[in-house]
Amino acid sequence: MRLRIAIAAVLLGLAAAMPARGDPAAVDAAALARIARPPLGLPPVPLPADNPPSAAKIDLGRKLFFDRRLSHNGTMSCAMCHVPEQGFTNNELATPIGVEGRGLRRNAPTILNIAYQKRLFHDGRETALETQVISPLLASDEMANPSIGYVIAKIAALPDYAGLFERAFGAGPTIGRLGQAIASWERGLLAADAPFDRWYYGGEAGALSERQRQGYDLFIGKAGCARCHLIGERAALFTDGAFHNTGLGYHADEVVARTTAPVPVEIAPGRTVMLDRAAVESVGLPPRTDLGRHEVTLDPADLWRFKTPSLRNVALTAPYMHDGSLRSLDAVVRFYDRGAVPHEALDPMIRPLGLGEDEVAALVAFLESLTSADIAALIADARSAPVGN
Amino acid sequence: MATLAGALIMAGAVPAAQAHDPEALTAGHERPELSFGRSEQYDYDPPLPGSYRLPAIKPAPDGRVLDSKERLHQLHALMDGRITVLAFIYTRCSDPRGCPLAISLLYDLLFVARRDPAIGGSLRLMALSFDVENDTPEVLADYAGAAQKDHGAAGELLFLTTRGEAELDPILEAYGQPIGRKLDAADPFGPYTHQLRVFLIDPERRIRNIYSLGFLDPRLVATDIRTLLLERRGQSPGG
Amino acid sequence: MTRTLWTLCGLTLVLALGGSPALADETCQSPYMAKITGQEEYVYVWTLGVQGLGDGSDKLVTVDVRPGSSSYGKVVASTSVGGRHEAHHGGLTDDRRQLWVSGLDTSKIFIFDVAADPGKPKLVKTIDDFEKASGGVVGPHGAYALPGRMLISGLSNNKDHGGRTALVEYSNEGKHIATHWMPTAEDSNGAKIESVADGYGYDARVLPRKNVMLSTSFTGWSNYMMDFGKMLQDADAMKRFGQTAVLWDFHARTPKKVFHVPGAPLEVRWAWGPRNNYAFTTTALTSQLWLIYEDEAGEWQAKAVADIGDPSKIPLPVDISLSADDSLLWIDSFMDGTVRAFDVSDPHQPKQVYEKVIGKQLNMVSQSWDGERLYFTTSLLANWDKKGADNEQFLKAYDWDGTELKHRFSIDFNDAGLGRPHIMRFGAKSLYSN
Repeated sequence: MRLRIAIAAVLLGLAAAMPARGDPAAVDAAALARIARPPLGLPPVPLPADNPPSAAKIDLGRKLFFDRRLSHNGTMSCAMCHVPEQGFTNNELATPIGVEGRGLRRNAPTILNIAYQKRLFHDGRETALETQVISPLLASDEMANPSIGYVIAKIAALPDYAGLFERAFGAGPTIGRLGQAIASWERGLLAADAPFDRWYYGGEAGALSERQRQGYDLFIGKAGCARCHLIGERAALFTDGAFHNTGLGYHADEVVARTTAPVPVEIAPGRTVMLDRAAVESVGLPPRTDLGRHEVTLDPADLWRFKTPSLRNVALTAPYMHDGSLRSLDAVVRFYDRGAVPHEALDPMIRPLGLGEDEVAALVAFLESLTSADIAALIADARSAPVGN
Repeated sequence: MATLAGALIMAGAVPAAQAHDPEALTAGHERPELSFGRSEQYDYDPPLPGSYRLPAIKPAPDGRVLDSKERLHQLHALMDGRITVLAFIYTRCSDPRGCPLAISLLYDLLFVARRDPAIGGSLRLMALSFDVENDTPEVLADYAGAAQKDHGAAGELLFLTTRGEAELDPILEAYGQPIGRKLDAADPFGPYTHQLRVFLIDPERRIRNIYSLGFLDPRLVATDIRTLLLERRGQSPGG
Repeated sequence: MTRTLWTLCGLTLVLALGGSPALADETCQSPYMAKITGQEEYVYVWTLGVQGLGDGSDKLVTVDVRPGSSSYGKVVASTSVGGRHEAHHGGLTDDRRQLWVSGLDTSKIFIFDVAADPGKPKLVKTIDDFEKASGGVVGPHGAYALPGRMLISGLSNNKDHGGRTALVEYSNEGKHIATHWMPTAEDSNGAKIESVADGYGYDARVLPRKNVMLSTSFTGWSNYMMDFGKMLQDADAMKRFGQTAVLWDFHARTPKKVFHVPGAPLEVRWAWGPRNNYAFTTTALTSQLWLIYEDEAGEWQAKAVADIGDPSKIPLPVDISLSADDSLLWIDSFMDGTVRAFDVSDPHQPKQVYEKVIGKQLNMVSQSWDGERLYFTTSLLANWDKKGADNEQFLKAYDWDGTELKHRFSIDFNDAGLGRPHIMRFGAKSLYSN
């Protein structure tokens, strides 16, 4: 009897982890199960009282997320910048490209574990997943729609959406319901149960290598990472949800913007030329400043402060930092080891760390232990929706 | 007249390709088309039959045509159940890179069909004239006779025309075979400009390939025909 | 009226028409296509709309180039397609009755009838389901005439806007026929891979005589749509450029060999001579001229044969045009606005013989069948073009007398409120003498 239960549990577990492609019911059921019981290492999912998850909402939200028709000229879906196979961000760009090629200032954040974020965007200007979607729909450098009414009328007229809002909400499309549907799908993108979780929360002594354990010691100790990338007793989000100044914003706005130094350009793998900055500027728009949290609060103290990102699955979400300026975890660790970019407003917690080569490698190894076991299932969930054209 | 009768006898004599061993469709030494060999113009070895797909391009349009014995046919009825190679030509064309090349291709395929019953029993070869003024059934009969003598073949090739522009134009339009009159009606190569086009049509009357200059290699066309035969037997990925 | 001749190209027959040997072509065209062997009468310019300039829409601009015409060197027609689509390349069907031009951004393909009135092309069909029909290809690029159909090389895909893409075939009637994905390391489709197989696309051209097709590789939507200056400073983005050229069995549409050609190989030109089994391509980022050729053992090879300008300054060679006798290769480079002519009589040892600055920026070059007339345009991509005063946008026409380019006329596309001129194709009334 006991054995049969165990086998059933294993089978259920497998079914939840790897739902068959093309079986939408099973994919949605697995997402609902994740929300109800998040993977090891994650806390309970906060759910808004007015938007409990349902299979129909998740289904609709997923379809909307992958639908390029949601942009004004039919080229951009949410997923064009949050690519499932690229850590639900974009590994190929420092900062994303929107409608008609307009460039954004900030790196696309992963939407994995987005359910826990209390403030959204790098500057934290939005407070709920349900309303977060509005900004990209309208931003001229993202999906560039002329109005919310335009988007809703467009969706309402698409034959393949007939009845879907009604099934999910008992009523037709509105911006509120569109936001609720997309938020419902995103909430199910829970990715934990990483080697770190099995070691730290699951008591699996062998889940981390010796080097990764050394990295963990540095993470919570000498390197001081855990002061912002928090690890809790029962769960860890690896973020304090707060805003800090690492000096990268200062560097971009005050140093890079004024330099006349040539630009290294890699014209082929392993072949870099130093191109005159004047040549680069002749074909480029002038850089735009990015004042970070200050743009929301207008508080001078918030100048160049950006939200602490979670480190879960960080090995999958390169490039790094709010501007995508660091391309590898090794570069990030060395950046903090140098004490980031010293300037007057640098966060006082940041200081040179004096790490040895071995310690840098150990920290990187530890960060790599934060990659979830169930990423493949989440990619399969995402790709169960066809790309809307 | 021998032309049509021969074609019908040929068509009826060998019911279908299934009587033959698939090896006959693929094995190099049994593909008579390979005897044409490489040339400066076709300087390659064709791919193996069935090693590629021939996606359907569009349904082959129908139309009413007249044979060289002045009998009326529907194109679809002539195509039915077999693989058709259809060329649009006119007999006054003497451009060495024009109609004579298409006619020559048809006779080359006839050569292959006569040596390989796997193909011969399934193939229909047609040349449809777009010169209603000149190419009467009688002219076509004479032309066919002369062409057969030139190519040393007996008449399994259908020469067709139409009763007039009212029946011809919809066919040209539907096949996408543009024809123009030259400014110089006395042009030594003939009075029409046209994009040389030869169509490969499957037994379900779908156009599976279109050939023009640079492409009228009998080895390639025969390989395509074998690919369609293999597909019919489920031995090729199909369209 | 200057006599216009037409014949089928790719052949080296000397036709007894008007005493004019049909040796050359308007050198960028498909070998399956009807050619203008005499005087071209119209130049069709597929032009990107610019927000705030005129109607802001992409448009097909028709320029009269009939010598002696009262509107010679002037715009005689302009047809907007509505909206901006990143107008880029296009091509004529094999029967030369339609001009297909496409948008790299929205993946729409606009089909113009150029036969009914060659002086006033008419938009007759818009393909707006290219991505869906092709199974996810984004960025229809070239439109290359095959018998009764068009071969369209894609640049990107609708999953990640990266560089993985496919070749797509359409019938001349505008119906999707087939999609052939570029070979990758994971799915090589039987191809021999020299070094890497990135799966990227750009140009695709056929040498029917050898039953081979050659395709090249550029970059995906995110890069070709991005501000050029921003991209040059984005180290991740710079990693996403094509470094391959693929040789295909054309008839079977299967890749045979993936050459390693780093630095974004773009335009391909096969030599015309009946025994010249080679093609040229240039790499945009590494500024090299490459030769892809069949060696004496019958094996196909790729090698760099010359630098174009000073590669350390990234002159960015973008378009090439090979003369009909395979002796002269024109190469436009964007950053220095310069055209260079290389003597390629010995394809293994090209030598630069001429250069001229045409403007502040330069992209496309088209030459007449006889090689005596050249036309240039400026726009590369909406967000790659130069900014401010350097953003010249023009069509310029020159005569080539064998030693020097002599200016004939210019049309300023900014002043005319037209936009950014890109690809050019030739038209002539006497093609359609009916």
